[in-house]
Amino acid sequence: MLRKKIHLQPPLLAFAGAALVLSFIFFLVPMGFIGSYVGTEEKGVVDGLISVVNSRLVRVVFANTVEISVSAAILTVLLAYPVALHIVRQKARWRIVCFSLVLMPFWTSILVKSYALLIILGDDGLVNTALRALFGIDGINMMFNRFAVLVGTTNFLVPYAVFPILASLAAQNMQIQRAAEVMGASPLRIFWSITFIQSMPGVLAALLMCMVISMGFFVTPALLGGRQDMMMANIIDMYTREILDWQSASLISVLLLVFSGALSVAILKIQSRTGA
Amino acid sequence: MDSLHTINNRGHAVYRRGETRNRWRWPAFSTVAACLVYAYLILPSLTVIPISFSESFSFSELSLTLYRRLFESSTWMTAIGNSALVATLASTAAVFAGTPAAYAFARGRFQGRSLAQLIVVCPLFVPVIVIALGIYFLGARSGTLGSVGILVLAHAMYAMPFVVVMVLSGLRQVNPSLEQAGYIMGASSLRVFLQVVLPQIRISVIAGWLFGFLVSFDEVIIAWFISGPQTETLPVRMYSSIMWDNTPEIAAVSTLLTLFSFVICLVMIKVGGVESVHASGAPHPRRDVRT
Repeated sequence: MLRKKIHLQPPLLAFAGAALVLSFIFFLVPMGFIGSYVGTEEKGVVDGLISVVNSRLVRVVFANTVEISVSAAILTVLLAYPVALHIVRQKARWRIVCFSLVLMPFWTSILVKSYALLIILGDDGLVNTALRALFGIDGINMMFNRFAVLVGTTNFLVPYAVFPILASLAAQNMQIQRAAEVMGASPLRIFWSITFIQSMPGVLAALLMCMVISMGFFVTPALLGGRQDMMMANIIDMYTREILDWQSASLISVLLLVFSGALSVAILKIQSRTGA
Repeated sequence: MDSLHTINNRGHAVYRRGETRNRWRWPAFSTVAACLVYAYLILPSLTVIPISFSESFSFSELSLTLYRRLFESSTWMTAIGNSALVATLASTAAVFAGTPAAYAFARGRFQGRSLAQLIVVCPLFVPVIVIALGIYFLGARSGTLGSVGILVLAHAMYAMPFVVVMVLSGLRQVNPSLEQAGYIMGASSLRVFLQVVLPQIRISVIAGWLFGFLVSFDEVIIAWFISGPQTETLPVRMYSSIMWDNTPEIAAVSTLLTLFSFVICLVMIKVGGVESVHASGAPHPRRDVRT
């Protein structure tokens, strides 16, 4: 009996062979290289870490990264929630249409979006031209600053936040809402104390996921932000290719990996606990 | 008009007058908010379309000048060609490596299976910049920076988790007893995979390839680190164009990419729709095994 069972579930290790080789050479080995550059002969890991943390530039960039990713995550969830709520309340056909309005920006290249925002928000962009023509207001500076970075980041992240919130809204048992309706609860109260509370796992997962994704942002701060809005990914690029200080680059990327790894573990915990 | 809305919105319970009006007001607010966010998501990409048909930001006359310049520019056309080539090869490699791997993770029994799955899917959870830095070191040490090979294989590794996740979700909807029937009749695992499993998950495999293609076609950071002047991909060209020289052709490229993503979106909905139909209406062979 046992032998038959084993026969019916073959090992199949060879089937995973190609994937494992590919992941080994192009993922594990590169990670190993980063690990090996963390400490060099003239400067150990601890000394390297101390000099990285003591650098004013690195500290500013760390603060930027935390500020931008936290505020972008909160703003994104605020924007994504009404969309998820709207989609979940639609009938089948409209649901597909609304869903594709979220899916399309998801498939649009971040460079197209960045270029579009440059056109819209730039000094000679659409908004400023319109303001000048209509009200004679001299240009508002909306480009190459924190505002532009947050617009670019939230614009990119909203689809990512809609999916988990939508999942937690769609999984809800409508009977509870109906019961509350019958008992005379106001729609606002139903939303607040039933729908919203039940969707908290999705909201939390979306919040953390947006933070993880935006922590590693590279294109948006580089193209839309100013020099003072650099994030960790940009400084890794700078250390690697401009300053040629591979040790600092490796140390910063290990720190980034640790931060985002901790957040990812938190997401998985939430998802496994709630089954969302 | 108002009464029409209340009828549309009630559906199940009986309301007194005040409550019905109350009930209508709240969805209206959330609908307005949702529509504003849709506009926020969609409009930026759409603004590039009129820009691409005009010269120097004036909408007075429409022209195809930017498109002509784009198709005559060898740097842009090389970048588009490179991206298409790299994405095709990388996604194909990811499917060839990832599909059997997903089958092994779903049905196989070997020591360290979950560890193997973790290793293959792990790149999804690591910031791309960290992967890019590691592959840059690999390329620098092996002297392969700027070659097509390292770019294709790096993108294949990066796209593979998406393929694996898609195929795994496809496999979850396939009844394993059909495979077991194959094994009982003495088929090798390769034969079962090719003739029993693959036909049933082909839509997931196609969707995985498409996903992998798009992931590679869109990928900037790894390509920014390891591509050379000869292997510059389209996203890298766009990045440097926005960053440094701001060539006007980028409006035309952006329009083409926006249309491309629109088409992709339609295809995905189509494929996704087919897949859900496939999942719900029990397919032919499964019923045969049960009875």
